[in-house]
Amino acid sequence: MKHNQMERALLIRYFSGGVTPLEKSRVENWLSDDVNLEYFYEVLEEWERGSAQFIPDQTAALDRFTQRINQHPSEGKKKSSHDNNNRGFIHRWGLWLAVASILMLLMIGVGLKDSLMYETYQTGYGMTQKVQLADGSEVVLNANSSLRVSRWMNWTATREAWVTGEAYFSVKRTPTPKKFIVYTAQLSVEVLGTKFNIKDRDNTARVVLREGKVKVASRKEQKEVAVLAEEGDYAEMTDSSEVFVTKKVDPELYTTWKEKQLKFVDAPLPKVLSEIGSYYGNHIICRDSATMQKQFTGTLPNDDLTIILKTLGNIYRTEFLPQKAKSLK
Amino acid sequence: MAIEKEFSKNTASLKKRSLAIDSEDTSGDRSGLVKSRDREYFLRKAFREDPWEGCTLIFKHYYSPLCSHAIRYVYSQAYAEDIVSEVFMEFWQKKHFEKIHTTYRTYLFQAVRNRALNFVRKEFGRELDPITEGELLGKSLSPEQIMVHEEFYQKVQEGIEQLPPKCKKVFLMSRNEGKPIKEIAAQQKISVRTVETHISKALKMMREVLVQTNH
Repeated sequence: MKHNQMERALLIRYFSGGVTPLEKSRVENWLSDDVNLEYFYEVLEEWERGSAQFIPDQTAALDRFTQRINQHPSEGKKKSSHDNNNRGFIHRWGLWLAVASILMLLMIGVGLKDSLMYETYQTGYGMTQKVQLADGSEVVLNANSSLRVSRWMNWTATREAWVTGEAYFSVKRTPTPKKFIVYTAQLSVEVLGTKFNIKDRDNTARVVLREGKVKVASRKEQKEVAVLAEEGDYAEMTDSSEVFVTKKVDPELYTTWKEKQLKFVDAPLPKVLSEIGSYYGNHIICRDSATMQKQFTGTLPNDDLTIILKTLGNIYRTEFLPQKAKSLK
Repeated sequence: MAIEKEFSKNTASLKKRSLAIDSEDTSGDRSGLVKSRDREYFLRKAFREDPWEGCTLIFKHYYSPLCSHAIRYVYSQAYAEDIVSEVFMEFWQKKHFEKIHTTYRTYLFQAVRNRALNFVRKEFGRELDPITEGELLGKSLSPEQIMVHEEFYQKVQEGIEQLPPKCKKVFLMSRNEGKPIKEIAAQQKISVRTVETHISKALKMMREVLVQTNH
């Protein structure tokens, strides 16, 4: 390797905090080359072994670790050779079952009842629901939303889900990469393992990324339109005009509903009211038009409509009234 | 399509080398470093054949130096060990070992450093949006992100050096030797209350360091 003794000595001094600012920026420059990372940690390990801060009881630690893993057998556990054989057996069976079920699906095809193929969850107004999917992924459904998922997602080539309203997805990565696709009326979001929020209301679909990477495609045009790769990446598509917007947002603002909170920053009051309204299935009206010009910043506890409206009323010294709406989708 | 390519990218296998497995510490000369590269290769092979076996080996090999590194960020042995165990937990349960494209050492050190810093930030109420271990698999940190770590634990060390002698002694007895407060009080012939005051003074110092180094 191209590293010399001098670098090693410099790095060790760098770890122990004995370098000049000039030397420090030399290390920084050197680190900007990814190739050098391995050597950096190699020397760090060496340094830690040479100047250990304390000596942990490794045997006890390994015992604790093993025990903890055995307590969560579903995640994978220690196995003896006997288990190993067993697993191979099950594995082969799994393959046959998969083949058989695919054959079955092919034979029965379209004739199969929707309810047999899919599971549907629906939330009413003023409630959220957490759904655990067969593959270990988790979905939180916002109020007045629905989720339809394949019952057989562990057997099919891709995992699929359909959403109306709003949902937050924590998609679990499968051991062998298997796509997870979420559909709304307008778009599809394709992922492998990630966290994101998807909202389809007022004929507009919005996707906000929390973690990982997703591919967004237009369903109408059947083509990929955006890749969201960083936290806070946002994509929006409307039904009618097919306008597609991507920008960077604060993902907090789009996901606090999961914690029964509504967070707003500089949001126009009408928008705040419509957000609250869509949760409780109400139109919220305010007769004071001057107030409606204002903006709201803050977090509202989202479990009681009366309290929310009272709080807002106190802030703006006016009255907010709910009016039952027929349907708010 | 790039996304799939990235996801399905196999963990790059290391170049084949002669298999010189050495269970002794590699501190010291250059030949030690070469040996440690061979060890990585050997570990990778073990993971392919039996992941649990690989995980046990890697745990035995890296647990101590990782703990020694983690404690530089925190104020107790127990926390340092917890942090390292959590990293191994996630490494095993989320099968990160299948996905890493660095050496195990680089991954583990990065994960421990990252978790340790997040831990103190959270502890002292200055939580920035943390980098997760899953993210560490996919991207390399910038030099600035790496250097934040050195900056932090070195400042902590400096802070400890500047504490009054008695306070420093008590804090290190508690942190690096893992002694309970009562025992320290008995040994130093001071009251439990005084020990607590010394420790909380040291903690206040750590908090200040954190405020300085967090931009």
